[in-house]
Amino acid sequence: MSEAKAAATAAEKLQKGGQSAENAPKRKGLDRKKRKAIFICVMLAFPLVQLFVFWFLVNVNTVVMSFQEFDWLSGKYIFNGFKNFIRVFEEIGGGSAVTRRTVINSVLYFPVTCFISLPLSILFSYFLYKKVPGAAAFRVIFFLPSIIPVAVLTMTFSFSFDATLGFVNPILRALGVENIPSWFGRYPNNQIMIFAYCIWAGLGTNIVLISGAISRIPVEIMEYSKLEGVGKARELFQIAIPLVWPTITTTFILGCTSVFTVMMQPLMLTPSTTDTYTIALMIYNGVLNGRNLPYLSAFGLAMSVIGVPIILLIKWALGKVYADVEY
Amino acid sequence: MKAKVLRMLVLAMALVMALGVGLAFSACSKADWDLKIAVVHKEYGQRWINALARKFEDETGLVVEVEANPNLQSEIPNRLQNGSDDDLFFSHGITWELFAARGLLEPLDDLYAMQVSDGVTVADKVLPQFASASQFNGHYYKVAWTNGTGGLVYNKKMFEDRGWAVPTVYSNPDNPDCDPEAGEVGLMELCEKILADTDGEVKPFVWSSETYYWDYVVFDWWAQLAGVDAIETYTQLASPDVFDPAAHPEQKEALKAWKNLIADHPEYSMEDCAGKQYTAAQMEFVTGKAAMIPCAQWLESGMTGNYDESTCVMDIMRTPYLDGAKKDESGEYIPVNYSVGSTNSGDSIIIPADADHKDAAKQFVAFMLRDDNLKLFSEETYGVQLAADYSNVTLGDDATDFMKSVYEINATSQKFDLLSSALPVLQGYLSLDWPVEGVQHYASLVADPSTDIDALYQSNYEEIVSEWSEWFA
Repeated sequence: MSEAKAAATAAEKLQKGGQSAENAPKRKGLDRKKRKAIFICVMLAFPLVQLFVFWFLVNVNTVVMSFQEFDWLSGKYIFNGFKNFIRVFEEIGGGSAVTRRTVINSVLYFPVTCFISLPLSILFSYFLYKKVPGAAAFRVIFFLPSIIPVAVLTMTFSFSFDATLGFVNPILRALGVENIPSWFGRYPNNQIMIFAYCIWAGLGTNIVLISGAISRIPVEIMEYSKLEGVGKARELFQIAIPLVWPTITTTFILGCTSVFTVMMQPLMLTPSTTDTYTIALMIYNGVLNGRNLPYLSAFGLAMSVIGVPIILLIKWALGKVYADVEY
Repeated sequence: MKAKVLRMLVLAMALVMALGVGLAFSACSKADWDLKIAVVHKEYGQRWINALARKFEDETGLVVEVEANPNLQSEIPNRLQNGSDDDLFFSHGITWELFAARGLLEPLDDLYAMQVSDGVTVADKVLPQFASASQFNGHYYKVAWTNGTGGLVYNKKMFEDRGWAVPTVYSNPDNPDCDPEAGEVGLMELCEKILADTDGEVKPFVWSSETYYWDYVVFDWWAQLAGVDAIETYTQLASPDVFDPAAHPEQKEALKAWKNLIADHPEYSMEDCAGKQYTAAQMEFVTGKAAMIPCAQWLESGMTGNYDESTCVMDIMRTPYLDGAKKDESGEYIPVNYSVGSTNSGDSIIIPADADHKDAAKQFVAFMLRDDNLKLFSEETYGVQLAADYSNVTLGDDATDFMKSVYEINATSQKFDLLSSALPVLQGYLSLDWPVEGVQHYASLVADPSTDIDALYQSNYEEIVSEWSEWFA
């Protein structure tokens, strides 16, 4: 409805009420433009203040701290140049077996998330979209891990593989498997198990995102492709995936950031070993011990400085794969 | 209509925000209590602090507010730096030296001079090793909280039913200190007996991937061999030579004893303990699948109500003596016991520098160290002891065997800890329990029993020597 039409309708309504449009009382106070501006300011104030305090100030503090060390005599943090960064790269380069393994473990989350978990999610989302038998049940099954607290889920997962209490080993034994490995007791088995857990527990959220995107593809396109005799594989790879590419790109980028963010899974599944440390877990444990915060700040910052350009490059490259399609 | 809905929505949001801000302000405003105590809510529960707080209220007329918070440890730094209404903190892992250096903690010299009871000061009552480890730059800044007792917890009912003696020595049937005629037995021999008597149905040990519980046994062995004075010297870190395995082989020998018991004899442990969750290991123990579990004074309180006493009655044994353990002048082994939780900063009681009720907080700490309250604390925590002198405390008739054993071990042992204010420790370069990067070797020894422990310790020592000058720069 045009503005003129709307005004006429309003005037008509007022007239019906026994009052002419001309005689209608004018609103007192601020005009509409100012009220709109105030409204926008009020709505934005809280998130902006939150962003400033909890993101900007925190990160500025982290950057400053990464160039400092604690002076035990004065009880203050003092400038120490690039000493912390030099230590970070010395340790990654071989000075510290734990740090080196931490970085390797963390980097491995990239292929696990982006090249195993994500393709599986796309595949399962497509099957759910095609309403394979039991699709509704599978949707619940896939999403269930995403709504159960991680503490419960990790406990359930690790208990399943417990040598005496779990159900996996007896099944393997019944199938004739001998020399069942220690799933969580030694490296790299424990790291592989954490990856397996991440794939299992991470599918749900990805499937919700991707199946939501696929379900928005116009039915006409799919019907047309069906009439043209397009097979399911071709429909997935040449129609569905290009059309939901922006969602896949977002999920892929989120997968890349897992290199820096995975913490709870190794913390809960392998609580007292440094073998399965990740960057986030190493920083978390270090901060909890509170022993060398400047070094940890430098460590986090160095990882970000290396990681962020790579992630931005990946984002740029993924944006070039398919053109954006409006539908 | 739309505008009306929008206005109502904005109004509702504004109300919610106002309510939130109001609640935040009311929480920040000066509350109507005379003392606010924040306690980490973990192994010891919160019954003890509630009981002590109510008793303190009754005696002094002051109103005490208690906060039992499982996440307190990670919140303390923020609360100290940004200010809070807390007057007293009880927690594990408080990096109190850092806070003291930054002026965030109240110096407690006057508290240590306060009277606990007639003629007895706080300084008299706190165990000496804990008092000396509570000083920084010549001032007291904390009071040690607990004096933890770890070791091998065993199923007393199973032992009694099967007629198994509690081992007094590590091994060796020829050991003159072990008298089989008197029913004494070595730990290694006991393990064989358990397997033989139960056809392997019951395993001697269950333990979990949280392998640091073995520290409570291995560190006892270390101190048995080296003596607590040597451990004290070690914590002072006068030179890197304290890590020299040739000059100080005791820690290495203790780990070798563990390797022999566990890694070289996988049949003594339940299957894949290194991959077990801690709760799973506890379940196996209380259901009688294993006879012993390495743990500490909180196991009984932590499992209360979760197991059947017709299957399991817990007790804790003194760590069996290794061959070569130090003896006193009369030829008796010197009993030692590691104060669990006393690496790095240990369990601590601190008062923020900007607390509103510092005097009440100090009064509460002195009150807590009174004999009747030491007893109350132990009763409410099923045997945990404060880091104080319990020589005048007698446990009540309803004390369990486990509580009595914890009490007896603490009362009769030379206690030792790994607390240190040496710079590399404060700066996080070194951890005195497992010096190089805090890496424990238990799981790796189980995974690869052929690991050369001598080479491991030599390599650690060389690494420490190479870094030493930089750490102290």
